[in-house]
Amino acid sequence: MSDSKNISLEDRFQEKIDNNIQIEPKDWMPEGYRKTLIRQISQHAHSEIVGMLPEGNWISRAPSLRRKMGLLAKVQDEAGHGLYLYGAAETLGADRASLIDDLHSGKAKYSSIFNYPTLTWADIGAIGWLVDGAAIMNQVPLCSCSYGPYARAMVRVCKEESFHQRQGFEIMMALCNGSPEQKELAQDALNRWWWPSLMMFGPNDSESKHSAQSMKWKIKRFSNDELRQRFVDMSVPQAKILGITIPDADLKWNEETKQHDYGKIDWEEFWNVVKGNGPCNKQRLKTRNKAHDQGKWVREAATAYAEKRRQRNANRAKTA
Amino acid sequence: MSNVKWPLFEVFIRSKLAHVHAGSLHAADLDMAMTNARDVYTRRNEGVSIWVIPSDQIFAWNFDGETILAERVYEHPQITRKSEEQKEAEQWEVFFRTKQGLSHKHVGSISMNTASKVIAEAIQIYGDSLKITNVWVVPSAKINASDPAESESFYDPAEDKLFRHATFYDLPDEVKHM
Repeated sequence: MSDSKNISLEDRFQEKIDNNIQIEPKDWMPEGYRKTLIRQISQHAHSEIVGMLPEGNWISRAPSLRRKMGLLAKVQDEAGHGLYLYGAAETLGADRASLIDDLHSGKAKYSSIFNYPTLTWADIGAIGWLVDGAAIMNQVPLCSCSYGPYARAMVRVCKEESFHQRQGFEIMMALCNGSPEQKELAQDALNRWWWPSLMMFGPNDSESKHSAQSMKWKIKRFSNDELRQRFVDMSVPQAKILGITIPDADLKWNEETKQHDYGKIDWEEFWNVVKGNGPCNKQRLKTRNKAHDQGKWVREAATAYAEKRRQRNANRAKTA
Repeated sequence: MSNVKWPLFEVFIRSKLAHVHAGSLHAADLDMAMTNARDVYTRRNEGVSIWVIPSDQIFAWNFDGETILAERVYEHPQITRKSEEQKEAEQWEVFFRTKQGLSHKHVGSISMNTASKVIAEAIQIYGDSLKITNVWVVPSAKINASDPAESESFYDPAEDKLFRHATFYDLPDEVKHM
């Protein structure tokens, strides 16, 4: 009896999704949907928070006040994005403190792109242009994903993300139109960030295990390869405007498919970084834990102040 | 280990006519939640008024045709299930989600002595003119509202932060869609 009731709940749930009716927090949902969403949303949130680190590295060394303000505002936005996403995960019953513990213990994953170092100021331009560009490519379709709070968080994020990419491209423009040394800096940054940016879209569709179910549940709207192709096609003319060369000898326009063919991705590097052996994995985790530990006094002070205020108000109420 | 468990708050922003749910945040208390809400949700002057409400003070009901039984807003470990007490009547604020995909929006106030009665009355009053998929109600006294008298100083910091906007960045025409 209960089995047939569950089947009809599943069917009704899938019907909503097929008809583009969004799922909200108090709606019935399969346990798998809830779990997958918590994992996907929290990974996204962790990526925003860890993503603050490679860029935060250059705030104190930004070459001008304009650049410093832009970078500070961008990094601040990333913190905000993490917060919107943790909030969305909490509507599914996830406890934020546990999610953060999982990040700090190394149990939870975040986007592997943030395990690469920012070696020069030009890296900040490349990140804004390519990494945020790739993120936008992924996030815009999610604005119509099936889970309401996640979709609405994505709308909020996308509104703010546009300035991020523009800020990065403006930096690249300044460098590419500057001295030969500055242009060389920009080319070098492109050389190092291009392939990792392509890897941001994840494994080839044939290797992607969870994709089919996520597509059926509409928490993934386009395949990894589809988004990656769009990103390549978008970025090629942008690199031409900058006057720098994408480090791919096999990159060429295909007149038949009206797309750019591109070279083979080094999947060994990708899996190695995902497994924890990228250039900065250990450093990122150490920095996050250190920030959390060193910030403990702030949390304790806020809690103590809240308690003091509560007591003061309670005493006032008594004597009133 | 995260040893601090701050309460969860829901944030509502009014940009034009009504307060709309923007998201949630954790803070040590209601006052700090208000300052955080300003910094998190109105960095680009998205609103003129902010309401911050402890999540566990909100009663919810999902429109699934069954008896109205006010429940907690999310199934969350920090939000304890409350039983409704019979009290003196007090003013409650009512929020509706009028379509799956949209945020909750403030519709008005009702005076009753339990959440379930408020919900039932709200559906009675508004149910004909508005499609409703979910209702949130909260005692008005539990809402922390930003002080309109302090609006100028409260939102002032965001006013001149033009570098937060896409238009601040000068790009050639060929990439103007970026």
